[in-house]
Amino acid sequence: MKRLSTLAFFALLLPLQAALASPDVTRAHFQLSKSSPAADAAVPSPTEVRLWFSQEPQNGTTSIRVLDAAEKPLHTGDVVRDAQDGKVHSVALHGRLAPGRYTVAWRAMGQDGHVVRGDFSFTVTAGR
Amino acid sequence: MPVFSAATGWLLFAGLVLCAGTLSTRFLVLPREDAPDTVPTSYLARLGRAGALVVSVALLLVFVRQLVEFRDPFAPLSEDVSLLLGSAWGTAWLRAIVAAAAATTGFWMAEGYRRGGWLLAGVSLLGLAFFPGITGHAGGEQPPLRWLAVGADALHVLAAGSWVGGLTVVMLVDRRARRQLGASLLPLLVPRFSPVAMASVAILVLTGVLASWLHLSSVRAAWETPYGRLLSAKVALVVLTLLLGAVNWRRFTPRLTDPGGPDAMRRAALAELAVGSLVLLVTAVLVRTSPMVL
Repeated sequence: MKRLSTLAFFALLLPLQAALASPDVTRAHFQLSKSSPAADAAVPSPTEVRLWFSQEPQNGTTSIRVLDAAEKPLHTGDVVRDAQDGKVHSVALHGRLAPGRYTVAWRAMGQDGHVVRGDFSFTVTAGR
Repeated sequence: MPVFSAATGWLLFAGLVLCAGTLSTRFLVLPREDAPDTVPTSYLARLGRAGALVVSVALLLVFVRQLVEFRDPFAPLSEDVSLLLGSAWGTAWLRAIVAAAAATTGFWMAEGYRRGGWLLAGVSLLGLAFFPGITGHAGGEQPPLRWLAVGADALHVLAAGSWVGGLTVVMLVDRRARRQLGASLLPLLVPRFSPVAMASVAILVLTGVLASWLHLSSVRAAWETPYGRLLSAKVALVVLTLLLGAVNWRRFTPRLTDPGGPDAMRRAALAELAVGSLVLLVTAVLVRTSPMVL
């Protein structure tokens, strides 16, 4: 009998773990939420690239590279963390960008130590 | 990279578990009055030192793994190393390296019966136990849950060490006793180890359920996300290890003084350790998997 009850207790552990999982609580995974310029947008030459993350990255771990069509990195300012919102990071672009396609390659480390990276493209149009 | 990442994590957990098992065996399992005549504590300290060295090597590999993932192809390597070391992750890693060195020193001192060696090793291990939580999913929780999650993670590591690591140490101590004294120490050690194992299991279950509640976004996530499936696999393996442990406790412990009893217990314990080692491997992959939101 004792052995049976021990077995039943252990067998209950698996569903117990699942049953106690917090129901439908939204916990944001560390990722890029949006950007300016937006992915695949066609815009006049921007003065900066701004990224919004779902969570605050670890301090100093965000990298934002802007590459031209030849995948050569442009000279940009340092990555700046927004003073009001730590989830927002940006780099200033020096001078006007020539019309064409550009790629933003970014990388950051979440508070949980996961390094997340990604890229997206935007097009600079000839207009002002 | 996933294989290297899993192997590195497994090595780290294996080292931590061995250190914790050494300390729990030293203070909770070994009969203090008989210890010098039966199992020299210097042998235990040597096992602990081996565990601390494994942790040190694993931490160096963990840094390499993190750096490879962190690498910006357009930045010099030195810049990425500097950024990584300057991050919260880097601070925790540097502290862990210091703690691993201190633990190695502590066990080395204990091996030579120097005063304060066990204390230094114990305090250092306590610090090391926080590393996986601070640099993992628990560290990603929002305050004030973060410190509850990190504390529970540290307890989880220590409890796993007392159970799986403790069993490893008990088996190694027995092997040494059989070689040197010509007699098995299992009839003496196992009845003392069982309550420690049961208390450890209770802590493991409680802290495990808490971690599941914190990291799983919904019940469905337990089978619909890679993280949930890995967690379910871990729970299944833990249940299997518990069943093996229960069988060992109920069936083989009362027969330890019978002829052939220690041999049967040894075989059963090795099976328990083999599954326990798989649990560590799944954990190593689990901590590197993002708990996705459904």
